Amino acid sequence: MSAAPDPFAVRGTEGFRFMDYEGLVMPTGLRAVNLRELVDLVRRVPLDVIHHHLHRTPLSHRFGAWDYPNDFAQWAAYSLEDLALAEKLAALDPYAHRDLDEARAAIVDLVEEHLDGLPTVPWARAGFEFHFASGRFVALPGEREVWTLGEMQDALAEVSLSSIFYHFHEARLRGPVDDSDDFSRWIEGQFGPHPIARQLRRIDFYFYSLEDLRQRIVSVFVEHRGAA
Amino acid sequence: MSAPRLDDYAAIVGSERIAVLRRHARRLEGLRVAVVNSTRVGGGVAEMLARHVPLFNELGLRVRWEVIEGTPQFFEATKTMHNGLQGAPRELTPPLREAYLEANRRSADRLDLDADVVVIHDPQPAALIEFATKTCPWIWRCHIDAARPNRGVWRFLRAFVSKYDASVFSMPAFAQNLPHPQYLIAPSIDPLAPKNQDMDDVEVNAILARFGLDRSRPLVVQVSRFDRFKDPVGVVRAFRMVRRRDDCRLILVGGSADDDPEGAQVLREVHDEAGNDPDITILSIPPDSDREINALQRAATVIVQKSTKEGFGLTVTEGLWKARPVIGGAAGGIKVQVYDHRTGFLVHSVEGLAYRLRYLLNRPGLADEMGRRGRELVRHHFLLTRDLRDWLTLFLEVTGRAVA
Repeated sequence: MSAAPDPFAVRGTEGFRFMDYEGLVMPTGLRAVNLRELVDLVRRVPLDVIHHHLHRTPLSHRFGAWDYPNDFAQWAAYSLEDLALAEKLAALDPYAHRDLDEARAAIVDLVEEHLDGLPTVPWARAGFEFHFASGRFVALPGEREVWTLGEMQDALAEVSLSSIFYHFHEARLRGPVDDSDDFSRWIEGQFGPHPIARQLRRIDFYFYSLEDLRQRIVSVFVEHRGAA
Repeated sequence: MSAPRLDDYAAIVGSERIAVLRRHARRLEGLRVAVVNSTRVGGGVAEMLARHVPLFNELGLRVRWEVIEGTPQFFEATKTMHNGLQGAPRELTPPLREAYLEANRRSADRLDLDADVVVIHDPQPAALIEFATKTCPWIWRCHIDAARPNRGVWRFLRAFVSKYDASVFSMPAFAQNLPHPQYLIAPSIDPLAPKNQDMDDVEVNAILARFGLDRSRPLVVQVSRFDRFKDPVGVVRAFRMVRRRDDCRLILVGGSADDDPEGAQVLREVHDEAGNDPDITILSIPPDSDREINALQRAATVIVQKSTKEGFGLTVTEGLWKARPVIGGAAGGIKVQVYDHRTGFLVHSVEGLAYRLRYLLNRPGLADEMGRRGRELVRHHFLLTRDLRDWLTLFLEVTGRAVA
């Protein structure tokens, strides 16, 4: 009797191509020196600016600490030194809003309500204004193509962090509205309902640095490989 | 020793980052790029180009480095522009403007600018676009802290810069009102260059000894050109405050770049301020003293960069890469490198510098921890492999080759 095949060595019918995610930040020249100016500009900047400040923060370095996961919350904490506002902005889940207009409205409402409760408008420390920017990012096919769970696990440990960001964070804004990442979509597309896919979708990625997220994703594979 | 090749960086940043560079470069195979600045030696820009150019060429691009030449009056004009962009109340007099334009006119005739992309660094050669035949995208790369420029100087320069197809700044605050796309690319250091490569204690101590120094007491070191915006006089004053309680030595290290005629005057002012204090060492060393600077930074207990204006502050990057804590002025790019209590301290005054120096001199364990964090920050964001990747992305963008 032959042994059951190693589930991590079973080939899918389609491969998974890791993409390189490359881009540059583009400053707009618009800046806010206080909270009133910030909210006024949030109302009128193009949506790709909102997207940049709300979603691309993980691409910057975080010293392993994940205190404030978007640029608005970071600015409130470190430049305005308004920790209550920083907490509220940090708790805002950008992926809960399918539409960036909706996300923009949520930020405006949150900041306006906060301003209503303040006796004065908070100002940024000199030199720590909020500079609005957008980004020009492009996904280019990388060299890694994987066909098995084992190959995917190995690749995940090595690909660039921006590639992880593209497949895990950006995927939610690009794919079907199912709040999932490219990895779990591929796994279920190739192997049907799968515990690894389910567990990947449950990762609360918003609070991880990209390096921590990589470790977390790999740990899901390791755990299941051990059990298999 | 032969110059490092791309694969040599894999041990520092990982082989995947090198592979990504090669993948992007394949889309740019044979791209002819002309880069122009104002000096081959001295200053951060020349140092950066000296490493970028061979590595781009190893990646398959054809990059040529040209240097604009000019009279002393041209360099006086460009220094005025440099200071003016940093906000100093300087006036570009008609003779200075004429010297500036004349040098650009002559250089446009002399330099080989036939390329697929032209990259112009800083104000000195910015007016080349006025006199050259433009047949491809031109990019203006500004390394200066232009957050609050002198309006007259900027108006003069803007007339040329607005003719470019894109500009690149080091910080979002430096972006200007321009009629073309603006991009951010942080500068970088080369971890394998003589100024940054690993060096053992024996060599560090030998180099210190050549300057009559040793490590018997804590060393506070500032490495930068003798320039008022680097506030070397303020550093001497802060050191005096520290010395009332803490035993240490101050070393101010600088040289004069070819395009920095004010340096000698500032150096005199620093000597006047320091007087005959035996614990203050002022070293004016040639611009190619890379190993000496490497050793002095490694020997430092704390590195200082008390700039009041700063484009990016590559000396801060160098200091962090050597795992030393840095106390920096809250200016320009120093703010994205020095994080309070994490990689060092940002200060806003002479008193602030003195206070934070005492703080770190009395907490060596904390200083070491900050240094380790600083090195990791640089590894992720400010090494030349990241810089090359950003430039490749920009070349893909302006040439329309970023098609998946």
